[in-house]
Amino acid sequence: MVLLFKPVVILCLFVVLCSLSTHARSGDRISTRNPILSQLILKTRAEKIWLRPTWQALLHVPPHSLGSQASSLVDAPSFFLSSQGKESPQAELEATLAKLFAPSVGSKLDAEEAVACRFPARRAWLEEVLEIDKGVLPEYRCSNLNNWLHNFDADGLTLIFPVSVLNSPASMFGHTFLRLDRKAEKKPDLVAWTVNFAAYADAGRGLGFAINGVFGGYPGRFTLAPYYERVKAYSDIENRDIWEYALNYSPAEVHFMLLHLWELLPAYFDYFFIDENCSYQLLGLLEAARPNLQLTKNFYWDATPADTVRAIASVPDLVAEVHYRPSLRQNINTRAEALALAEQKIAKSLALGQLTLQDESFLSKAPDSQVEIIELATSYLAYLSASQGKPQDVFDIALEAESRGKQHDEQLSRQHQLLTARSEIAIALPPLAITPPAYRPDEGHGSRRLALRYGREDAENYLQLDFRWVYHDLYDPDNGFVEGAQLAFLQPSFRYYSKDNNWQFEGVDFIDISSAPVRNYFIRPFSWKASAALKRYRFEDDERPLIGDLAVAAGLSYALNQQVSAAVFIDTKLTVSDKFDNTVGLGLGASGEIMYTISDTWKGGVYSSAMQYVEGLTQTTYQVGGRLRFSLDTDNAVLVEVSEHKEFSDAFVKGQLSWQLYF
Amino acid sequence: MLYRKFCSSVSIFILACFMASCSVTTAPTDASSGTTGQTTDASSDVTSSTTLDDDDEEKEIKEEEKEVEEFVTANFSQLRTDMSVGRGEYLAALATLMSVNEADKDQFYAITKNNFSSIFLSSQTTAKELIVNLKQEIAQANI
Repeated sequence: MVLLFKPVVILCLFVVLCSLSTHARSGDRISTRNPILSQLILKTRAEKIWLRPTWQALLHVPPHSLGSQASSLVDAPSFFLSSQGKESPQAELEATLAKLFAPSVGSKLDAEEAVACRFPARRAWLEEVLEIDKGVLPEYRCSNLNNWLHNFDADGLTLIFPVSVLNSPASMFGHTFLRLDRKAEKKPDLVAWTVNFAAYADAGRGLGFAINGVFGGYPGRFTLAPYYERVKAYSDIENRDIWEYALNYSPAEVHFMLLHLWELLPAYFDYFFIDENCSYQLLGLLEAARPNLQLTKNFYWDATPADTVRAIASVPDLVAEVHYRPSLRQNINTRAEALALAEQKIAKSLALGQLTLQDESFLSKAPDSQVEIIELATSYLAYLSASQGKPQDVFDIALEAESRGKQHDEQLSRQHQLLTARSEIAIALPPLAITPPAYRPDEGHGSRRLALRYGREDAENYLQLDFRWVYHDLYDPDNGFVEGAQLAFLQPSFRYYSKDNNWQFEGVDFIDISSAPVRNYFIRPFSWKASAALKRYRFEDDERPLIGDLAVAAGLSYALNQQVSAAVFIDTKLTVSDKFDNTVGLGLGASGEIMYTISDTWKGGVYSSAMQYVEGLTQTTYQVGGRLRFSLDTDNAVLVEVSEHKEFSDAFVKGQLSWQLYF
Repeated sequence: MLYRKFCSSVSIFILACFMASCSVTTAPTDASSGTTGQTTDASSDVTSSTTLDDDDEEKEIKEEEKEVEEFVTANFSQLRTDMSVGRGEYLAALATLMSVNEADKDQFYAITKNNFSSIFLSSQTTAKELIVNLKQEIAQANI
């Protein structure tokens, strides 16, 4: 236990040291020769203007600095006009006021470096709150700022949430960013700009990237890109569905947010991913324009993108409309479902070049079917070329560059033939109707889970308490989550045995990932699992030592019908304990599971697995059982499990009744 | 000793995974911009594209042309698919970018479908060629 927490403690210390090492220099002297300025400064001090939520939001001071001196999350010295600005909102306010009154350098009215042009949101807010008359402050043209604003012409805001995909560790939790809409001009969504917060790394990833990222080694910045770029990256290449939450922000609020974004663009934040990630920073941006939202106050030190979406959706009247943008993969699946298998086969053969449009099997189809077949074939070809060069699955084998180039040319010319053929048929089919999932991501359960379990194992009763930090497992309520995806981090558990009248550390699941997307005729992803845990195994004489357990599995999943899915896996397992020869055990095995989604609230499943230990000890182990889950509401579920286990002793039966609370 | 090694290696692994949450999401965008050649570091790109000072007609037209070209380059394959059907989100966005009148839009969509083979002469047609060919067809149709 103690050993386990050591790295965490070191991590915490490191973070504390980092935040202490911020610059603290001597105070600034504010020239108060200007009588209006002195008056205003007296006014701010009398009313403690710097404590207003808007000022705190503009400086990105987190609201939950309990008693201690509140310090801004922004780490760029250029963001602060006072050398104490990071720690003292008051000093920063007074310095800003003083510099706003400072006469312009030279006679240039267009001084872009002027504080008024550099910090337009601060100026606008101070003018309003201190009732500074127009003309009192020196005027500037700020043409860079105005051109920039003109380019957006934004009058609406949409929060975009591409759902998670497990096959890339970068997107396990999903992502959030903002879209700047142009409602008045009726500009298409695709050409709107998006605001994204991400780590600003020049090159390289791998371990160095991860470590730098964790400790804030890379600065985080706001970046902009057209929405079509993002749709392509998420929807077409990564095959992630996108949810668009249109927010009820007035054009004036959007304008103020943009003024503030302008202040932030050159600034950077130490990118400490757990607490200051993309989602948290977006909430900060949204708050600047509407401080009474107080969105960030609920996030102490972690915020997954799904949590953010839930926080925003829970504010009454904040979300005006939710729109679902299906991925290319959904598009293909929907088209395929509408066709008979024989027609699907023709479409796939056409796409792969195994059949030409002159083939009798295609020509014999009715014109409507021909159109459907061609449209499916072209979507499938688009899917194939989008996923090329970027392996969709961990098991994809990278093709040689040369053969890939040749393959690409062939695909291009097939696509050209198919589309030309399509354009020659006048028939227009009704637009493809893809049904959105019944539940939106914000309607899902909370990320953290607390479970109380009562069970009986080998004639001994116990009470178990466990906590999971994030995120979702296959038997949690599925509403609002991606099907067949499990991601669980840091789940310690404790057991109480009435016999010994004693609590015992039962184990900890560090990480438990399972990606089991179903395969169909067109989309054929592989399934995989990976986990690392400390858990107890039963040996002879009722001994249950803690054992380090690493498991990896690869397999296939299929949908038997709309509600039932089945998966088979080849498993490997590495166990670490002095119970094994040379302290290491190695097992190989196979497993299978059938899951039945009975309704929105009920889900059941049966599973079995067998494993032969070949190294460290010779033993055959197995496990067979069933589970049934019932959701009481969004954040409460009951789970019943019955199973038989054979570990390193005689076989035993286990039954368990659990109550799971999500928050 | 054994647990200690196990625990610390697992901790490092978990920390690496947590990087996850969103930081690395720059990756897909980078990947896509490789093909379209337009990464956007807002502060520079957005500012440089317009200047209000010379807000004359010529400038506006140039601006529109640039926007159309960027859009077509980035969304070439989606546009091609939409044009073959004569309908779609990307095609509608292109019509707006090219300032096609609301009343003429249906005709614009029909032109792209009916003249598909003269807009896309071969599988090697580029974005620039597409725009030139499309403009020719529009000019002929007088919209």
